[in-house]
Amino acid sequence: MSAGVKRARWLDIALALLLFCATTMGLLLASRSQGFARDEGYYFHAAEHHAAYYEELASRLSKGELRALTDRALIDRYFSYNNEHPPLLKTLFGLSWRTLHRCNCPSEPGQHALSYPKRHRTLGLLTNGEAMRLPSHLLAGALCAAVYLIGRRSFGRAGALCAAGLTILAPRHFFHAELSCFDAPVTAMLGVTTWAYLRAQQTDKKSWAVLAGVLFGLSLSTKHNAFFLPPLLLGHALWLRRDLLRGEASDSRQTATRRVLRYLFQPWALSMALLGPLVYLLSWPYLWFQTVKRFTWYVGFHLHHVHYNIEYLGQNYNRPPYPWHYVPVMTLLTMPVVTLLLAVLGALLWTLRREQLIEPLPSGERSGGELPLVLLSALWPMLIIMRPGTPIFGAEKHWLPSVPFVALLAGAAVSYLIRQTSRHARHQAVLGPLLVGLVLTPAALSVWRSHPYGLSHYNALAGGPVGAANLGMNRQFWGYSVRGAMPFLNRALAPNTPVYFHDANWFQLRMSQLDGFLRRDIADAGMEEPGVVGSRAAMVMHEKHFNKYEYWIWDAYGTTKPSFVQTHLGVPLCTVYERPSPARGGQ
Amino acid sequence: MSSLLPRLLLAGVAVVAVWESVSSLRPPRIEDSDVRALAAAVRAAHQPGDLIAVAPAWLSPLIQRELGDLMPVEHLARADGLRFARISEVSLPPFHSSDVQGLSSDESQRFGSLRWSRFHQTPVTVAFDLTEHFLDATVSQRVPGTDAIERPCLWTGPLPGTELPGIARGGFSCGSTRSERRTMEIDYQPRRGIVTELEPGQQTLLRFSIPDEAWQGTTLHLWLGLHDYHRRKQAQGPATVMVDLDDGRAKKELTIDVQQGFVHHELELPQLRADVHHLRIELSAQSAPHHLVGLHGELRR
Repeated sequence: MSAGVKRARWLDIALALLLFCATTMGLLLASRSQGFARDEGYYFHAAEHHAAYYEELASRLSKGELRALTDRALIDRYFSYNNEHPPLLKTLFGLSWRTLHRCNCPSEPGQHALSYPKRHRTLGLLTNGEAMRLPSHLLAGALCAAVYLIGRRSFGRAGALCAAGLTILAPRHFFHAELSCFDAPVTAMLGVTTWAYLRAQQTDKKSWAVLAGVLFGLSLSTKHNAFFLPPLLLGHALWLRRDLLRGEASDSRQTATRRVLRYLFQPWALSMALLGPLVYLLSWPYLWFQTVKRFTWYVGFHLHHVHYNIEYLGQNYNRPPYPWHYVPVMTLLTMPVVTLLLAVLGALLWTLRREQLIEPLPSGERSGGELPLVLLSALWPMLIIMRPGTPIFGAEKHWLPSVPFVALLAGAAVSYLIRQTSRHARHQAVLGPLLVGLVLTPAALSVWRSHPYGLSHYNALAGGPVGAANLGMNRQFWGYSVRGAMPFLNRALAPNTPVYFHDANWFQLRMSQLDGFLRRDIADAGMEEPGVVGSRAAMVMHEKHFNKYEYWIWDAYGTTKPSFVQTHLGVPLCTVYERPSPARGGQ
Repeated sequence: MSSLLPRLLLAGVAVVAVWESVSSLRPPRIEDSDVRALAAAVRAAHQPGDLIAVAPAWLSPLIQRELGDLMPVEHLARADGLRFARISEVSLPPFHSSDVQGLSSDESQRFGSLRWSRFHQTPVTVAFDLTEHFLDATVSQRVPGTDAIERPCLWTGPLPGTELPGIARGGFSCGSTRSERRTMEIDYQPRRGIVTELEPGQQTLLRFSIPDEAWQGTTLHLWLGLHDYHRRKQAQGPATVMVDLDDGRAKKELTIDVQQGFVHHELELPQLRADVHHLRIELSAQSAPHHLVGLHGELRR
């Protein structure tokens, strides 16, 4: 390997690390002002349980009690809650929290999932919420680094930097990557698994195949989306390695059967088939007992998932069939426009002018079928959700794994533009950074503009959030905009006021209280209409199907005049009412 | 020498990038200062009984924050705007409230992106309002198609206007179901009216006694729909509404489909002279669970 090649490799590793760190730090800092979401609340609760399991397990093992490994009561105690989702991320959230949070746990009774009579010994670097969210940020950073490396190997440095940047500078992806949830993490896991698979194809090295298998197992343990990855990779691999079926004339010892077996059972496929399930099972102790029954229940839960509500073009959808165009229209209206434009250009140019944008093959490597893999990976998650029977209530989060590959297509277009606008190296050296800056600026501005209401973000094609409200598009879910109302509640409410918090659940409010965003004396008045009737202040998160809750408040409070309206660019997200004081009776 | 295509593409990408950046820096927005200035103008011109109509509906919380004391629930949850002589419309052009359809504005003013327009119309006279007279109604249940004795539904809970925090509103209790006056959600919009939860195997009867002076020269306007989207999602099949006027002198059967909105029906009244006239509304469904029938009615002339 020449010194130049070595230097280039180190530079790329350094850039990948830089992207990893910048993304992680950016998300960590931004998430400080990001409201906790409803589902995060459940995962916070589960995370403390998972961390407690490993703490108790380690404690018992350190005393030589090996039987703790197979103690079903221990496992069921800590893994029964929220077992409709696999454990990897909740475990990481919990371990991160256990290691990094600033602990005042003994003085916070009722505020944690478990009681802690003693202070935890921790590094004390982060608040509770920050520590819980850090693993998501790290995984998003890893995804950006992997996208850079895929792009760098495929079409060069400037395009790769663009692709990595555009991956995280998509407002909805950025929002999900801030949270202790699974959608951005599974996007990251599927992205890095696909990268490892691609490297296995490019290098033919067993180590990459093994890594792909392990990462696939971890992806399965992140979210069930991962079950959809093998068909995609298998289809790609069978197309890519079709030459294996033909065989070499000189290799007469290879029988036809052996060629077919080599074709079907490629190393990465064997690794994913064997290591994937093994890692999955090892990471999820809850499946160690009654494996078939519990796994069947898990699969059944997702096959028969409740169809929640989502507003689209003025209509509330909560049962199939869903419109097939929901996915393309939502993508068109929520992704940065420049990313979409470049992605379409990239797909066309990579297909039609391949030789003008791809990088030469490094010695000892071969083509990994990068274009079809990236194209398929961008489309596959969308196609799954476009099926009329697939629930759409999660909006773009359910096809988030497309985003890094859409960004890679955009990066390919950038690479082409830099190389073909001028053939002079000096011009390219100037044009490269300029074009990277030009492309990343609108994406970065849209993230900045949308924060901390990323779920309410719509791009310039929709006319922003105001245009989207006019179109009748969903404004939010998960009750996360409650954070914007908290300063008002803290300021305006009398001590111990019972509040009807509508779509915000107790676990997310508890974390808001722990981290000092909501006064601890403010009480949750309860759920549904009895909660409204028993409250002194009440809020409604604006989603079409939630309108009735506002009408309940009007009736219970005898007023239609809210005290506070939390808006994003003037579009109401969360409205707070206070119960008027009763008039005094005459003497 | 590079070709023209990359340069054209580069120029196109640059134009889109600049346009999108500017759009992010200066996005369309509803300015709070515009809302407040508009609200001050509306308040200054407001007269008791004026309707403040907002379009599109998503703007309403912002306007209610400023003018909620002038927008009682009876106005916000109206069946239509025909009973109001003066309408102040607050809108985000090109949207218009359905209440001003066919009317021309007397005056219009812009406040940033918002518009305030004033409309006049000759209002309809409402001689009798079923929702307002809900407490005067008699509510009962019976097994349909039999001579079984009707079971009266008795009022439980506080009377309207006397509710206390923590105490559920009052209503007529019929076995395990209720009939009550409330702000309903029908087709995701607020509608003031009477909600009756249907009970399997039972027909719920609402009876109103209407004085002759309110009856003569009027027609019955009835709006029907199913309240509460959670329940609509689970409801199976239509509900049936039999409207009986003056003890069988005229009858009209109406149906409420699960997904219909707040559908308007206009019924002619038999014009007989009597001190008191009787309107009976019979509510039932083949599959009663999850049917919360919402209705509002007015005798209009």
